[in-house]
Amino acid sequence: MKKFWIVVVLASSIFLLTACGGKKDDSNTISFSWWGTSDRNVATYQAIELFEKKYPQYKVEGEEAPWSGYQQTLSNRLSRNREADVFQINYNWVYSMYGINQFLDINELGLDLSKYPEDEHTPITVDSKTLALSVSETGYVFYLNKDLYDKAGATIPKTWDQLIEAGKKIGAYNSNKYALGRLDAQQVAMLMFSYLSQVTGKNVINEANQLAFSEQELQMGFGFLNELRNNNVLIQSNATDTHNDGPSNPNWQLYENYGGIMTWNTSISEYENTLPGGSEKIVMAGMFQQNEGEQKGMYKKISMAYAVSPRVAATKEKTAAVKAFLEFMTTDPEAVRILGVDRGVSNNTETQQILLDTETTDFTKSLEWQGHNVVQNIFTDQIAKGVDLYIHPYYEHDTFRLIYEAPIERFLFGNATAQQAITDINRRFNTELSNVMNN
Amino acid sequence: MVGEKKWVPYVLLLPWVIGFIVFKLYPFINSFYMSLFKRIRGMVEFVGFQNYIDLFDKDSTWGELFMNSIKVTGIYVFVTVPLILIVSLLVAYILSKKIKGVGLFRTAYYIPTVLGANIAVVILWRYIFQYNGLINQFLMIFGLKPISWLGTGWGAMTSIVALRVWQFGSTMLIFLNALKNVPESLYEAATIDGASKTSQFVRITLPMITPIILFNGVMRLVDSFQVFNGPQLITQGGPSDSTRVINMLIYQVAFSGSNDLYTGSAMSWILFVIIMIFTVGIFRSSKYWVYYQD
Repeated sequence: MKKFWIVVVLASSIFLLTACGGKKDDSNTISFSWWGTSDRNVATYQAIELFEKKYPQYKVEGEEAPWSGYQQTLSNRLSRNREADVFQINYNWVYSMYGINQFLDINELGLDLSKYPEDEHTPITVDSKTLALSVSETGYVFYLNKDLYDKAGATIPKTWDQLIEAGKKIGAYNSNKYALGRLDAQQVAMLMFSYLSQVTGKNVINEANQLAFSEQELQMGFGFLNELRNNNVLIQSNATDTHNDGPSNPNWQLYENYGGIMTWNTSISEYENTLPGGSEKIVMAGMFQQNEGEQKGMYKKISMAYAVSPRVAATKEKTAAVKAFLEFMTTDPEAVRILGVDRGVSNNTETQQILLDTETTDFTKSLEWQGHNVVQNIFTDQIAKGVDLYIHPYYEHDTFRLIYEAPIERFLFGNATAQQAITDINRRFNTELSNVMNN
Repeated sequence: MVGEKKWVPYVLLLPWVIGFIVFKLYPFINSFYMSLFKRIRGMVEFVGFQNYIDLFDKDSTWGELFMNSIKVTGIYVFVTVPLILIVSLLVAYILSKKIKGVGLFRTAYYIPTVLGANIAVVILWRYIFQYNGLINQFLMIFGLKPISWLGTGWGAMTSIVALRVWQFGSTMLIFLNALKNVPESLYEAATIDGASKTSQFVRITLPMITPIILFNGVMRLVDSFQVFNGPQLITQGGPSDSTRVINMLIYQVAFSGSNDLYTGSAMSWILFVIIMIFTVGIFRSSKYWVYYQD
């Protein structure tokens, strides 16, 4: 009897330890992980269902996740070679995670990339390897609560001066309300850098991988932020806010004290969904300019991309399955219509045409599409004038971004003066950028 | 038969031993090994104690933040631990008296500990401390100005300390048991000698429960140094890193986009050494202030 129990205990131990082991790799099963809100999740599962109907030989295991924590999970899975076959990534991740061959060169899949603009995949091509398939591009765009502007008798601005005038009017209407309201350090950084780029024509990070703006230019930028704070465009101090994230901030969604937001055009649905009647109230205001008619200050990047595990290339069957899945998700008419603009507007001409030809829904009226047009138009105009504001791949690196976001946050909370923030940014910007790029 | 009897306990212990080796001992040793390496241009290179040295260099990648997190954690620990001990001892003292409905009060005071710093509770606390939250609404009833609890360093620290102190239940229960074990004869003798209640508390109760104060103090010290949930969920380390405790920074460095497990491991070992120094220091000091009856 004792022997029996010994065997039971040993067997249990072995089972517990082996339970963490790997699962069988089935060439006809594709795992696909992504982050997203409920709208995106529902649409993605519908597309997966359709794929399995059209390709009954394949099965797709969808793995949805919220944005928060997605990168950490992916990072852990990559280090254990347990990532999904296809996984959604931010474009800069191919740089921060590159070096251990964690992404398959998608050219190995034989995908047709000719429908994309020629330079679409340049930012995610490292050492001649295209490390992901671009889903869409994005840029920071202003979206305003027109309802609040109308009530305050303010017109939708096109220039910074008009925005400041709107701030004054809204403040006079109700001192608790603002033309924009609260922006976090990431948003304020992009606002200031957009403004400075309009003035100077420079990208934040120059070709020598150094901070392009001089101390005087940064002083101008922070001075501009103070002007926005003093004229009821931004709140005086972020210390007095409710500290909820933008879309769920009661001052945005409940009290409608905040009249606008600066966000990625691919993220506007989060704000649209939380604001009651958001689709009627929110208008796309583009990028405010120094002078009406100008087209400046637009930074852009690949919004997100589909990366493929190097494991996929191990068998021809799996390679074929993943190729079929990616082609389906990006160019199948029914799938494209189901997915809509939840992941932004694709630059693939075939995909765009499918959306444009859709009779049941006018995707061009969506806030994402309107923002996409502004981003692309301004960016193209800038390029024609020799100004390239493509976002540097390390600009959003988790370690590096602290170098400029932390001082800006201290400034926004009233814990640092503009000069202190500038000194802190200047002190470590170039060395830290060099560190993250070399590591 | 005799040999078989000898083996049985070891076999029964085996699952735990395997778990300990796999989930505790191996990561513990491996984290020290990893702390001696660094990723340079995509290649992992042996750098000796350079990661440790860098953490105390203000101009290194994580130096400034790490030194700030030590300061923040220190403030948190040295405010939280005495407060928990004082509050739990006082409540335990009151609940040790024969008052009506004492069982209900004991349960009520223990509930926060059962709930812990789970997400729902933490979100509730976040709402309580918001600018237009419950506490400020309460202050405004008396005509007081609202306080930016989560927008100022001291306010945010107050909120995470309050969350931890609120969970004093288990410390209180241990004190309660200790108080009941103080011999009644000592109080009777003191009463006959004319000692006041305060004098009895200071001269009899406190000395008699010093071993439990030591135990509770060490336990709370260790878990306060390792705090993570409250600050992560209420303040996310803000504003301006004023509540970014060491464990939050370790998580950020090791598991966020920077993925620097090597520096994160070095930070963990420094935290381990700090906790060891304080724990050993307290035990060494105990011979001067802890009274053992035996």
